[in-house]
Order: sequence, then C-alpha cells, then structure tokens
Amino acid sequence: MSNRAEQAKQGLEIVVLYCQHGICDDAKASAWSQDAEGMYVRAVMMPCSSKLEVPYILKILESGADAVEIVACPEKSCKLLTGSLRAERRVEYIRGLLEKIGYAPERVGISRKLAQKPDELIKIAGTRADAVRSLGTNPMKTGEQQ
Amino acid sequence: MIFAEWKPIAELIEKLKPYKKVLLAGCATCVAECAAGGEKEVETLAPLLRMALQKQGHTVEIVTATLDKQCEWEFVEQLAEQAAEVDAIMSVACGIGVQALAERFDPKPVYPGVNTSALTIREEAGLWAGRCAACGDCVLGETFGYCPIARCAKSLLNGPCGGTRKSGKCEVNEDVDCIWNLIVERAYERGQIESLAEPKRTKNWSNSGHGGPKRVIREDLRQ
Amino acid sequence: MKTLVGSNLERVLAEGHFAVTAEVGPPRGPEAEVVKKKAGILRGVADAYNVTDNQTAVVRMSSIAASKILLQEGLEPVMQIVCRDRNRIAIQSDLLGAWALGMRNVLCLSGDHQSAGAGGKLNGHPGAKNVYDIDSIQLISVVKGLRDEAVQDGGDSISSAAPFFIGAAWTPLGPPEKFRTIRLAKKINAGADFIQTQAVYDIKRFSEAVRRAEDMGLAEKTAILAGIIIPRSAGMLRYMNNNVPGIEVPDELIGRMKDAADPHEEGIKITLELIDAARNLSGIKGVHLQAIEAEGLLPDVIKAAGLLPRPHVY
Ligand code: SF4
Ligand code: SF4
Repeated sequence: MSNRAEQAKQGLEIVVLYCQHGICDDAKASAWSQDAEGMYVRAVMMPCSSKLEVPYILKILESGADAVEIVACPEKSCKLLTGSLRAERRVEYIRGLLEKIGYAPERVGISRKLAQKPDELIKIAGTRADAVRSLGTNPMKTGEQQ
Repeated sequence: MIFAEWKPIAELIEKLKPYKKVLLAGCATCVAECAAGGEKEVETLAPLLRMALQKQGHTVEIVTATLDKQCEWEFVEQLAEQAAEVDAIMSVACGIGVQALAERFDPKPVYPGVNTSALTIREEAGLWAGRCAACGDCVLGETFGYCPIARCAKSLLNGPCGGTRKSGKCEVNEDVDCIWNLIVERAYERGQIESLAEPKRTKNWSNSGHGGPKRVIREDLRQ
Repeated sequence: MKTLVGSNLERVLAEGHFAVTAEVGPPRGPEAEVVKKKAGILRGVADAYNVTDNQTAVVRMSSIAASKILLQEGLEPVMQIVCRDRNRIAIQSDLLGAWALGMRNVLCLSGDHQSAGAGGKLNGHPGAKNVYDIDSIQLISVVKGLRDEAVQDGGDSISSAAPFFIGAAWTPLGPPEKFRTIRLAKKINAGADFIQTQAVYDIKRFSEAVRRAEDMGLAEKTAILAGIIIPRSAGMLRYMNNNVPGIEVPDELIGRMKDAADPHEEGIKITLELIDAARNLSGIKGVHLQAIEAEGLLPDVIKAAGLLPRPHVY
C-alpha cells in the first residue's frame, strides 16, 4: 500500500491491456511496466481482446489503477473478426456500470489500433491518462472518499 | 429458465452499507444463463459494490461464492462455513435461492440482489424473452405451441384484441410480436383455423399462484 | 315486437331503423356537471350513448356512475366494461349493480393495456397490476349467462335474471385480417347482440370485410354499427393511420383534409360521406359516432346526415 501511495504521488497508474496479435515480436512479453511522464504504465498482453472479461477489468480498477486502456486490433485485422468489436461493447457496458456507481466512465477506454511498438502503447496510455487526470486518483487506491 | 436482473446498484448499497462483512452468493443455473447471478456476474458485481461502498465511505468486506444450485439444500449447505463468518448475505439467485438461504441461515439477514421477473428463453445472444407464466393450466396444445398467457399482454384466450399493429406486433410494444397473430398464422399454415373458432371458456387459474401458495405432495416420493 | 331487454337501442334496431350511437367519455374528475353538460348537448341525437370504462387506461369517473348520470338526464347509456381492471367476481357484481341502477346495454371489451396511459401523453398507471382474468369473448358469455340463465360464470344461480343487450367490438381491418371475421363470429356465438366497429375510413376495404361477415351469415345474427370518428385535421388522420391499430385511412382522405381550405368543413363532409356509405351497406344497421374532445359537433352532423329526429325520443 505504501508503495502504491508513492506511485500515486508520482502520477497516475494506467493499465494497458493489449492484444498479442497487434504487436511486433520484440514487444511480445506477457507483462511489463514502465514509468513515463506523469504516469506509471503497466502493460499486460492478452491472447485476444475478445477474451476480455468484464470482471477482470473491474478488478484492475478495484485494485486501484486509475484507468484501464484496452488496445484491440482494428476491425479489419482482428483475428476473430468480431473479437475487437465485442471488446468494444464490453467496454461500453463497463462504462455504464461505472456511471451507476458514481465512477467516471473515462476510467476505462478502448483504442483499436495496431500498436507495433511499446512506445506507441505508452502514447496511447498517455492519452488515457490525460482523460482521467482531472478526476484525480482512483478512490480505491488512496482509500479517500470523493 | 427463471429470469432475473440486477436490482439498481444504489438499492444494493443501501442494504449492505450497515455491515462489516457480506457474502455475495451466486447460482450457476438459471441466473447464470440469463447473465445476472452466475459466477461471472458475482465477480462483476462484487468489485462494483466494493468500489461504490468505499467511495461512499463504508468499509464493507465482500466475499463471494457461487453454488451450482441455490435452490437445493445439498448445495446450499456448501455455504455454511462462509455464511457463519459474515454479517449478512446478498443472493443474486432467483427468489427461490434467496429464500433457501434465508431459511437455512436464519437469523442471518439475506437480501435479494436481483429482481426475478419471468420464465424466459434466450432467443439469441443477449436477448431473452418470456415464454411461460406458470399458469397451471397449459393451453399450448390448443394454441399451436405459442403461449397466449405469457406472451399476450392481456392473456387472451380467444384470439387477438383490436390492438394488433399493422406490423403484426403487439399494441404494448412494437418490438414484441402479437402472439395471437402468430398463433393464427400457424393455424392457417396447418389448415386448422377451425380449431381457433371454438370458444375457450373462462380459465381456471386456481392451479397457479392465484389459487394460493403452491404445495404439492407426491406420496410415492416421500420418505 | 319481441325484444330481449327492451332497451331503446334494442327497440330501434328491432324495428329496422338505422341506429345511431354516440360516445360520452366520463371526466377525469368527480364532477357530475361535466357529464350532465355533455348530456345536454347530445340529448335526442342518438339512440344510446357509449360510456367508456377508463379508456386508454386513464382513470376517469367510473362508467357505471357516469352511465347512471346519463340515465337521470334522459339518455340511454351503453355501459362499457373492460377486462383489464376487474376479475369475474367484480365484473358480475358490477353488472348486477348496473342493472339495478337501470343500465340495459353493455359493451364488452378487452380494454387498452395500462402500459401507456393515453398513448403516453399522461402518466397513467404503468405500474398497475392488471387483471385480464377473462377476455372479452368470455365476458360476453358471462353477461349472457346472467341474462338467459340467471346463472353466474361459476355455476351459482342469481336470484333473478339481469337482462342486458350485449355489445362487442370488431376491428375488421386489424391483422390478422382473415381471422377477424372468425373472431366476430365467436363474439356473436357467445351472445353479442350488437357490434360497434373500429373507426372506418377505408370504405372499400370495410365493405369487403362486411361482405365476408354477410357470407358467413353473421350480419343477420347481430346488428353491426359502423364506427366513425369525425376527422379534424390531416395530422389526426395520419396519426390514426400510423398509430391506432385497425384504423386504415386512405391517402386520398388525408390529402383531401390537407388541401382543404376549411379542414373543419371538410371533416364534416367526409363524415357525412362515410355515414352515407355505411347506410348503403346491406350488412350495416347503424353508425357509432365519435367526435374526440368535440362532442358539440355531433348534433349538427347527425342532423345533416338526415338521421334526425331519432325514432324514439326517450
Ligand atoms: S399456457 Fe400456462 S403453463 Fe402453458 S406455457 Fe403458457 S403460462 Fe405456461
Ligand atoms: S396485440 Fe396481440 S399480443 Fe398484444 S394484447 Fe392484443 S392480442 Fe395480445
């Protein structure tokens, strides 16, 4: 927790879930993390965005991440054809759930891009971080009440 | 299957906030089929409840469990240990499961997390529709396999009301078929329209909930 | 002349006159005055007056009470009963009470579902528990049992018969259209003495439907009254055509209303043409006229149609 609190001071914690089919070979590690400007990025590779389950994403937020960004393949290049589309629908569903509990829906997002390099994933994470910066840190992290 | 859907989360929070530790209990049968109370939904609802409670300043620990069936005592028993450790239980099974837990774990407070509302079929992915109202006097044999009790907004027995839309949909909802329109169509297709010309007398509703709480004894199965 | 009930409407039909009924909607409030005022406007222009039963699932003065007020004002009511709000116990009890109060005509209906009060224009009571214990055809049989056998639906007898002249509705152009004649037959076999149809605008399709009913021998077993709603604007006709099940309005009529210099006049003209067409159909024994929220139009229309004076001023 103290580790977490430090991170919080340093910047936002953004979790990036990315589809293994969208990334070049040298970035094919199942999970890695990196400090970047004003944020701490944790990246997790998924077999396919269609496998993305709602509880999994919610648990990431519950555990204190400030935002989750899913990087799914563009429609045309999706291995499962409709996999990334389904991921998009689930993200919409989660956003609706977040609104119901008074959380900003922006804490979850999806981009449909072929992010070939880790750098690009960091850039995408940065966009998500910008979207949530004004919201402050996730109340689950600090235990604070909003 | 028995169809249920989540109650508004705000309502659930109100119920849970006085407690320190709560068990959220799912059921892997009907409510899992209708994506309201299976394991996946329990594991979706639990983090949401935790986040919502914490945001409102309530520290409530939520533990989870999903039974194969919440409506049979053998399975309910599996919750005994966990139930003993919590201050309250919230069940996302149908009303039958909720009552089974309430009975078995009395005096522990048990709250429903869902509204149980119909007997449905999953027509396609993400679409459920009512099929039966447990009326206790099934007429499907005379209505070409379409239920006019559950699927006609007025439970008519003698044919369509004047409300059938041009599109063949029901006056109540333009997305729902007028079931009598379908019954009549099928009767024509099978060359049996005459059977629908026969008047159906007033129905005996007493074998449904209207006759008072259901209680059935089968001596051959008693011990 | 042998009549079952002796109501004015029954006598007019039995004597072979072309009958006229009109509609009186009870107020959304408790004022007897409102009903009396409408009665004053409509006295003498029709043979009987339909009193709606919480039409479009909006709470109004009860049809029994409003019917009784009409009766006191010298107008004969056709008391409507819907199956939405009362079970067979309440309906039969109300029928006995209504008979005791002097009502002799009833119209048996399923009733609009409560999901949208007044088509969504008012709140209504979408959260209400509906009843629909019996349907309109079963209701007809129930009324017939009280009349012909002095017996309740459950088989118990009543102390003396309650003879009503029994009416029912017919939506000839509603889908499934072919079945609508069979459903009409079911109503007649169940005991419907008279029929009021859903509003007619497409006289061609309507006359075909009436011919089908005649072919089945139905038109002589009952008295069919053609429903006519006075059109007030092209918009109203378009709305009904698109949204009211069973109402078919030909484009030509909508066009006439749209192009009319005086839509009010044109609406009356169309009404008179429809009445005339109905009179020329052998299977039609009268008209049921409605002027939604404008009952004041009816006396002039009925007069202009040459339907005054009524055979019995009652
Ligand atoms: S008729 Fe009754 S028992 Fe049969 S499907 Fe319909 S509601 Fe169920
Ligand atoms: S439109 Fe059809 S399904 Fe709807 S209430 Fe009327 S008969 Fe029943």
